[in-house]
Amino acid sequence: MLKMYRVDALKVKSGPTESGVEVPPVGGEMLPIDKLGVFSSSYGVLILILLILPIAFVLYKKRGLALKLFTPLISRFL
Amino acid sequence: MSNKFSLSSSIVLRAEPQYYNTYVAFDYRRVRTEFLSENEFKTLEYIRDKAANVTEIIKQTGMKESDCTKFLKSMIKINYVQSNSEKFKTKTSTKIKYDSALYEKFPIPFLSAPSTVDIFITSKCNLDCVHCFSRKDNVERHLSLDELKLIFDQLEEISVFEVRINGGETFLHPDIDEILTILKEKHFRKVILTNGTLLDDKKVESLKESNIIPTVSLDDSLGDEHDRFRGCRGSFEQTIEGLKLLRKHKVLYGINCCLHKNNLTRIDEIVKLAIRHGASRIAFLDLKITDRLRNHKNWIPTYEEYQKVMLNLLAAKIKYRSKIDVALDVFLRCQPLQESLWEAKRGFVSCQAGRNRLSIDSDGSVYPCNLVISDKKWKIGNIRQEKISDIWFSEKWLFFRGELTTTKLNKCSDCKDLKKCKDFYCRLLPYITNGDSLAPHPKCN
Repeated sequence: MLKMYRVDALKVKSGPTESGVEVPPVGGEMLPIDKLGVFSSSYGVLILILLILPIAFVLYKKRGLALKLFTPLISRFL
Repeated sequence: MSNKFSLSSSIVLRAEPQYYNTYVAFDYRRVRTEFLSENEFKTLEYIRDKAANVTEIIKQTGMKESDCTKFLKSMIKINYVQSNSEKFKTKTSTKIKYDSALYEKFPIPFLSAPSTVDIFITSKCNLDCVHCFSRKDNVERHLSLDELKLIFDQLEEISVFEVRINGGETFLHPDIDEILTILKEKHFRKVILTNGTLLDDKKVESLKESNIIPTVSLDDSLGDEHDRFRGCRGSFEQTIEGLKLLRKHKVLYGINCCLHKNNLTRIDEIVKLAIRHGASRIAFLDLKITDRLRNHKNWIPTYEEYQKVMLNLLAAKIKYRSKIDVALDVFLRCQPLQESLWEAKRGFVSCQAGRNRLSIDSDGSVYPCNLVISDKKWKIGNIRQEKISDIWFSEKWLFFRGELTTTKLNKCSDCKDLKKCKDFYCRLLPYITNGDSLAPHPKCN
C-alpha cells in the first residue's frame, strides 16, 4: 500500500481571508538583516554564540583576575 | 456499540487515490481537514449514505471491530460523526468516476476536481481602484442567476471545499439576494469579497444566515487616502458603515489591506481601526502589477520598502495577537504546495493552478488563477459550453501539470539557489509583471 501523505491541496486555510491561522513564522529571508537567517539554518552558530556570551561576560566582570591568569600565557607567545 | 452512526452534515468527503493516495474528510464549518486511510474513508462514505451500527460497518468495510470502534470514537470527538443518530442529514453527493487515462495525459498528479474555486460573479463596480485587475475592458457583465445555480450545483457535485465569491463589487450583482439564499443550502465553505460600501441590515443578516464569511477591502486609516486609492470620494465612510453593520450583527469577518506607497507608515493605525470595528483578521497584501496598476506606478513601493515594512507588520502581529489575527502569509511570499516541492525534485514546476484550484470569470470563462483573470491567453474553457468537471480535464492545463520543467525556465535553470528557492513555482506573477511566464520572480535580483 502506498504511503499516506498529508497533501496541501486538500487543506483549506481557516481565515476569512485568503490566508489562514496556521501561519508559518515570518522572517528569515524577509528580514532586512539577512544575516539572521544563519540561525535558522545552523543551530551550531547559535549554540556557540550562546556559550561565548556568558563566558565573555564573566571574563569582563572578573577582568582583573582574567588578566592575571592570561598575561603569562599570552606573553609566552610574544 | 449498537448505536447507529451517521456523518455530520458539514462534512465533505474526497477520495483522491491518484493524488498521492489521499483520502480526506473536510469539515467546512470548522474548516478542518482530516486525512484518512482507505478503510476509514469507506466507513465515513458508508455512514454518509445511511446511518449504520458497528456490525454493519465492519461487514461493509472489512475493518477490525477494535479499529472501527476506535476510529468512530475519534471521529465523534471532533464532531465528524454523530452517534445515536437514525436521521440522515448529509446530502449524498454523486460519485464521479474518471477514466485513469485522463490522469495519464499529464506528467504530475492533480486532484479529480478543484478544492477551491473563485467565481467573479460580476465585473460591475461602484469604485475605481488603482490596482483593479478584474475590469480590464471596462465592460459590465455578470453571470446570470441560472448560470450561478448551475455552477454551485456542479461544484457541490464534485465536492469542492471552498468557493470564494468575487467581483467587481459582489453586492452589485442584480440577483445578489437570491445568490445568498441559494448559497445557504450549499455544502461547501463560502467566502465573499466586498468593498463593504453597499451592505445593509438585510444583506448582513442574509450573510449570517447563509454562513457566508465576508472579507472587506480597507486600505487605510485615513479616509482621504483610502478614497484616493479606491478612486471614489466618500467610499471610506461607506466601508466603515459596512463594518459597523457586520459588528452589530456579530458576523465573523476579515479585512484585506493592500499596502501601497502611501500607507506603509500607518500599519499600526490600520490594525487598530480593524480591531475597533470587530474584525477577526486583517490580511496585508502586496500589490501585483496588473494592467491598470502599470498606469499608476507611483503607488507601487519598491521591494526594499516592502521588506522594511515587514518588521512593522511582524511587530503588529505580536503586539495585537490577542485582539486580531494579523495575517502575513501571503505578503510578498509565494507559497507552493508541499506537493509542488516534491515534484520539483523530479524537475517539474507547478503551483496550485490546475492542481487544486481554478477561477471562473464573469463571462463564464475558466482561468487557472485570479492573476490572469480575463486574459484570453490563459483561458481553459467556458462553463456556458462545458461542465466544470470536463473543463478540469482539458489538455490546456498541461502547462500547469508537468509540461514545464525547471530546465525550461529562463535564468532560473542556471541559478545556484534554485533548490532552496520558493519563488520560481508561480509562473503567472512574472507573466503579469513583464509578460514572460518563464522569467524569474519579479522580486528576484
